[in-house]
Amino acid sequence: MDQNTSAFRSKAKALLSLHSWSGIVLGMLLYAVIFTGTVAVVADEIGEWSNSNYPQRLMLTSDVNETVKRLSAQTPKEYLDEISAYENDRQQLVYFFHTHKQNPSGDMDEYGVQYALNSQGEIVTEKTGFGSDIYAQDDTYALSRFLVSIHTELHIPSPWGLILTGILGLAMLIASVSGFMMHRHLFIDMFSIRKQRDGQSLKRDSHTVAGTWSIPFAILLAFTGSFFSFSTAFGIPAMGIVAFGGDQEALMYAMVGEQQNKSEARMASANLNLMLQDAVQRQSAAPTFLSISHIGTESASVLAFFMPNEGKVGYEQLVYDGTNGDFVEYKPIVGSVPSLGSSILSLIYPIHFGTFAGLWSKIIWISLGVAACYVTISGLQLYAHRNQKNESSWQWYSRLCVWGFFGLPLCSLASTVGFFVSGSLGTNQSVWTQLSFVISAALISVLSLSIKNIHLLKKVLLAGNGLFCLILPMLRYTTSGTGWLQALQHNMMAMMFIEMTLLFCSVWCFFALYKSMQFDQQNINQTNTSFSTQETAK
Amino acid sequence: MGKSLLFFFKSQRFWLSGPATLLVSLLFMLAMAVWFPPGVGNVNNIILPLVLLPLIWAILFFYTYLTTNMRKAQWLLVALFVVNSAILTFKFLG
Amino acid sequence: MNHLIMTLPFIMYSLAIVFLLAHTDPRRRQLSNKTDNTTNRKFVLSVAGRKLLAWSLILPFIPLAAMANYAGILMYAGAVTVIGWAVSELPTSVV
Repeated sequence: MDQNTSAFRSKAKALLSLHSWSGIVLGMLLYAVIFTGTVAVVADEIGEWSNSNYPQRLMLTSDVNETVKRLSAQTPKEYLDEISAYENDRQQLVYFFHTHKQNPSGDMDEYGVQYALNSQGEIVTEKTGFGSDIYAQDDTYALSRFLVSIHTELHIPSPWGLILTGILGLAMLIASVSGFMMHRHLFIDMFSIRKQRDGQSLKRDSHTVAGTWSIPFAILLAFTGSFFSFSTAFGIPAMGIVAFGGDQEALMYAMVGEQQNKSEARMASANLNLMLQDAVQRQSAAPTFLSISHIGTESASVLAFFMPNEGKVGYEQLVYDGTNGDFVEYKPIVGSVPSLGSSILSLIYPIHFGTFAGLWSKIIWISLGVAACYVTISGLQLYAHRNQKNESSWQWYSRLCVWGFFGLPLCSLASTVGFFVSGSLGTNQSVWTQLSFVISAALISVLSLSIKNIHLLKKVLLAGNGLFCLILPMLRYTTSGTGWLQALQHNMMAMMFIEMTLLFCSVWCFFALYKSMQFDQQNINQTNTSFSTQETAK
Repeated sequence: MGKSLLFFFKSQRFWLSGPATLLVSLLFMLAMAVWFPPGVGNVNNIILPLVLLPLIWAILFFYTYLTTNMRKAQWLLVALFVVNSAILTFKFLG
Repeated sequence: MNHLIMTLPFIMYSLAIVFLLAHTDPRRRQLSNKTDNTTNRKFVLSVAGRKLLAWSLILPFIPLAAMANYAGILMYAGAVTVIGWAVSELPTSVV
């Protein structure tokens, strides 16, 4: 019996040290990934908001068939292998005529010509290059791409960034599982947060309560996140070496679910518009993108990609026979026929991204992200706070916490300011979005080192966050001229949502600032009164 | 600080739960591509090991970290290492 | 859109149940009495009753699955965890 309890105690102690060390060592980076992950949930909305755009459904209103024919005539033959089409956030329909080949960094990539057409069907821009390069330099997505890339690879060169975020996912998995295992009164303490003498909630309790509630999704998100990181960083190619003896092309065809070496015999293709109409009717929605393969040949096929609809959680891919326009199948995400692997994947995507039921599911996933952020912040603060009292050499850790927790949102907001200002000046938005992040990070670092009083530093950064959240909607209005009235007229939900969220965050920041001021005032009064009572006692 | 760091790297558990577990779970994933039934879609043997990697790693990690019987844990990892390496060698050389 | 609106009543239901669970939580009550004796709490539930209430949070999965509203299932599961946290964070004067 005694041995059992001592073994239990040492196990609990081991779990606690695992929990705290995984948090202390990787907690700050984990916070960066969780925070930007929360933002990434609404990456599409941020894209639309940053361009003051709303979906035009150009794929349905314009003559896709005629446009593809016209562009095919002026595009080199080798790029007619595959044509992808989607509507971007600047009211343009983008067509990318491409073939597949290895890019300089050795990965399979798309290479070809990209045309952006306005609603009248006139070519606005024309770019030739690798798909990944063209996307990386596209100013339309400068802001959302920048923020999402912090989440996926912390802007560290591939594959190391992905490996790091994968490890962070594993750390989050360790932290949540060990937190779950070491808490003996999980259900008893589920609702109770003790108060300190000064009326503030006990940090430890806030941490455990938030942690307890977010355990299921923390585990799921960490698990799926590390899967994404590892499989893109090295997993898929490594499995290709084992399963296909290193034939990466064979692996790609198995995953995409296509036969290798298709017939290239010439044959007229059916009308694309009719296939589009049929797909739209089947899904009662507009497709997110269109992929036309081997047009003008015997093996022509058309794939229309749809976001989840009507209670489903997986993406839908409708495939048409390009030669006669017949509907062929609902294609699974991987492989050519439905399989366990493809159904697991089609579950992992919505669970991780939260993008399966429009804004509704996104709001819930943002809340899950906020809860996870709160657990990380409160956990690290708990540690910083405990050591702050004991050892003065750990003071820097509290400062680091303030710098990271308040600095990262502020830098993200600053990069948004950079995006808008550079856009209105007509300079390179992709560069300036990143540069504004770096500049503001440097400024915040200097500020964090120079302001001696840590409470003052916290307040300054909080005020900065509130101010930027307030300024951004105005900045967007002045640079684009699209006001709320117009937004309501055109039912610009995404834009209004981001705008409202920013204003809400701004109010929250100022409220928190007001509260902490009030709290300080109270403390001063209390010390004053105790001082005066001491005086009178004398 | 220096002493405790030294102690940390000397600890058998660190090597067992850290690099050894990582290596074994990666080998497990790769070997799984060989023996896992690919199914009609021919993708199950690629997707499932990838999905299971974090899970396999987590199970092995918590087991080796918490077990009181280090010897048993050690032998388990060695056995897994040998079996999975054998599968992979057989695949590439056999 | 329809399936999203169908999920909302279940989320409201979970809000009510979690609210009730927090309100009748013995540990929470014990702690709030320590700091503040003025709160008057007449509403008490037995342990078995609270258990039943907690298990009833699973009930919405049945109609949601029956309606093939899988998006609703995921949303409901996410919403319950967020609601639980939010309700626990409310001051004891409210819950």
